[in-house]
Amino acid sequence: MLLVDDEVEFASTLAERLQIRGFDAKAVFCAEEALDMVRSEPPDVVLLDLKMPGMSGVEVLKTIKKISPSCAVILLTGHGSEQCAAEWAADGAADYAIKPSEIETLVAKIDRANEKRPT
Amino acid sequence: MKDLRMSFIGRIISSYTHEVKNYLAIIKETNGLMKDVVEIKKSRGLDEKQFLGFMGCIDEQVGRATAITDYLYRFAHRMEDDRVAVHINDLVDELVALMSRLAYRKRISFDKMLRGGLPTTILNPMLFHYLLFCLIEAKMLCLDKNGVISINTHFSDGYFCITLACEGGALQSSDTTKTSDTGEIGVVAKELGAVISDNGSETVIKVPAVAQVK
Repeated sequence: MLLVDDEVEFASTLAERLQIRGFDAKAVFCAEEALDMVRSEPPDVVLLDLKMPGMSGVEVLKTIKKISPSCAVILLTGHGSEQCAAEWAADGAADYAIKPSEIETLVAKIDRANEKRPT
Repeated sequence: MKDLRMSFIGRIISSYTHEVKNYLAIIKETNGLMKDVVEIKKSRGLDEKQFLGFMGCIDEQVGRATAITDYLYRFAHRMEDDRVAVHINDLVDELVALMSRLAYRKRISFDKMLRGGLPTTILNPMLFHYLLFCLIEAKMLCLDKNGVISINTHFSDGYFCITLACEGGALQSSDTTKTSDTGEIGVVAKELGAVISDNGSETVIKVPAVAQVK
């Protein structure tokens, strides 16, 4: 799985916590790097920060779904709402998580998104 | 006009909250990782160096959150009165710190050169902040990613001069209608008694120092 967040310390630390829980988690710190990774070795699940410099998270989400439709994308956001969730789902997001989330919540969302992802 | 001013305050606050939430997220994950490591290494002894690293990271994030909160505190506190004695450099410093996240999202950075020893003056800090915010934002809109906005201050001929200049690729030319006498920036400048000049590459705000405080 791939974790995309421009906050290097946040992404690296969360990736390490997910690795401890058995995930093959890699962290990248910008949209361009994430898209390169999705093109070269498409991950099953992407945890994607919604607000990054340059490309917006929604633009990255749409591009990921074009490159690899089977990839499940979970958006990481500071603030979520039912309305936003519906819009993100329409754009192809599997789910969203409020940043920061409890690690157990995040793990449950990753597992659920992975189970439901199109094959 | 009042709606635009409210919107400016809203944007500063949302930029601040986004910044602080990021610091809190890093603190939470670092603390979580410490717990994970304690669980894993319970029976094998703990690595002191690793823990000092975690603690250092938490300290750093608390320091950053405290610094940005201090800027917001001062920014908010100044709005209690519409005429207060201030140092122009303090106002510039606060706004630039609070706009850093907005600039970062556009991959733009600030380069400040604030001349020391400037006298104190009396003005409406909210109007000054709003004027400077609008002009910096106008520069950000024109500047391509990886651009730099340099901001410098000095005192000359009875005026505080704040100069904004861009380095880097341009996306579009600046919208001069906003800085005209009747545009929103022009109206605020007039209210503040400031004069704005723009030669295409530099924008200079001149704030008269008629009401200086010794």
